[in-house]
Amino acid sequence: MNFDELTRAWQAQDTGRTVEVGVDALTRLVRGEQRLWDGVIARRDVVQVATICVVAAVLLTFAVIWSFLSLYVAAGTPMFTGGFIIADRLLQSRRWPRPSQSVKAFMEQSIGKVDHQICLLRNVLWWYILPLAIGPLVFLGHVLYVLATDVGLGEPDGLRWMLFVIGVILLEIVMCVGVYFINQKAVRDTLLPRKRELEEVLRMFTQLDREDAI
Amino acid sequence: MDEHRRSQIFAEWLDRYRGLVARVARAYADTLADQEDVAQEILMQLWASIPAFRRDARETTWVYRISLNVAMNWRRGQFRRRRRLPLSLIDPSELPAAQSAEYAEAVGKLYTAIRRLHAADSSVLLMHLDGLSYGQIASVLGCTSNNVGVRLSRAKKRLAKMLEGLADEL
Repeated sequence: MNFDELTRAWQAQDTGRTVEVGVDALTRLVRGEQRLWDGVIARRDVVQVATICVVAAVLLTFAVIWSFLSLYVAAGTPMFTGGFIIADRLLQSRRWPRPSQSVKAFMEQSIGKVDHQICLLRNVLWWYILPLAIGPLVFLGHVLYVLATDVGLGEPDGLRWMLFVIGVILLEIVMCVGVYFINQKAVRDTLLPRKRELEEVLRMFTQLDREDAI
Repeated sequence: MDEHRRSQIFAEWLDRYRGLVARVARAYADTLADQEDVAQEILMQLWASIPAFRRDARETTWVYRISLNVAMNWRRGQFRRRRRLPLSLIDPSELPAAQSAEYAEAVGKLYTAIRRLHAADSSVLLMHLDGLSYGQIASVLGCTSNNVGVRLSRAKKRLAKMLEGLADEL
């Protein structure tokens, strides 16, 4: 069989390989599924923002009731992280790769997207962990100070509460370190291999362009 | 764009390019279930792309770009799993033509070989087998027509090695 016959065999498959499906029914299905999918994405964003708002509102309420400056800080920092997440998503959504681009452009954009994710996770300490941890740490430090000055170490209840607060602070620090290392592991194990894979595919597509240029 | 117009365009595309979607899905995924997954994702992306589609753009190029980008990404596990739709887009039934047995075997081997080629070669071959011109292939891939010619000839050589015994001369 030569290539022309192979091409004929290839083009003949259309008749048998695809079956008649109701176009209207399929259109309805796809439309419905896409709406469902968009709904899932929108719900995920709403839940994230709503959680941040609720946490901030609760902390703000306590800050007003108790007049604790440290609680104002604790309420403000989640807002910073929430704002950062929303702003980043809005900015990046304009740069997301679109499958209707040429294969080469799509690959380049996909690599750009992975690069951005790598950058975010490598700097997770500054925009996520620290802003979220600093509020509670300031608050717990304040509680510790109040316990030390108002209740005193000599009181059995005071000492117990201080040890409890110190335990919570240590637990928070351990959690922050854990979150940081989980993110760095994701960069190493998932994102960098994905980037290399994309670069390899792109290299295949651009190899001839480079050869041409030489 | 209103929903009715969008549905109308999608229905036209589905009618015209169902075979193309099925072929790309089969070229990039082994099992029937995976092929249906790829086909479903392509259809979803086609639906999503309709508002951005301009009539002056070439329809075939547009559909091919989306199909190939989705299929290559699917292979790398880049798309999240959606709920499976009862698409039944691909039917493993026999070909009705007189030469069906010989053709079906040849096409089956061709798909297996294409799946083993790397992405750049398989995409060029797929489009060439579908009868796209060098210019159209170049537009889908984002390279020059010259490069398409060189790549195609290299891909054919690799294919010939894989299909030894079936293809005399490629």
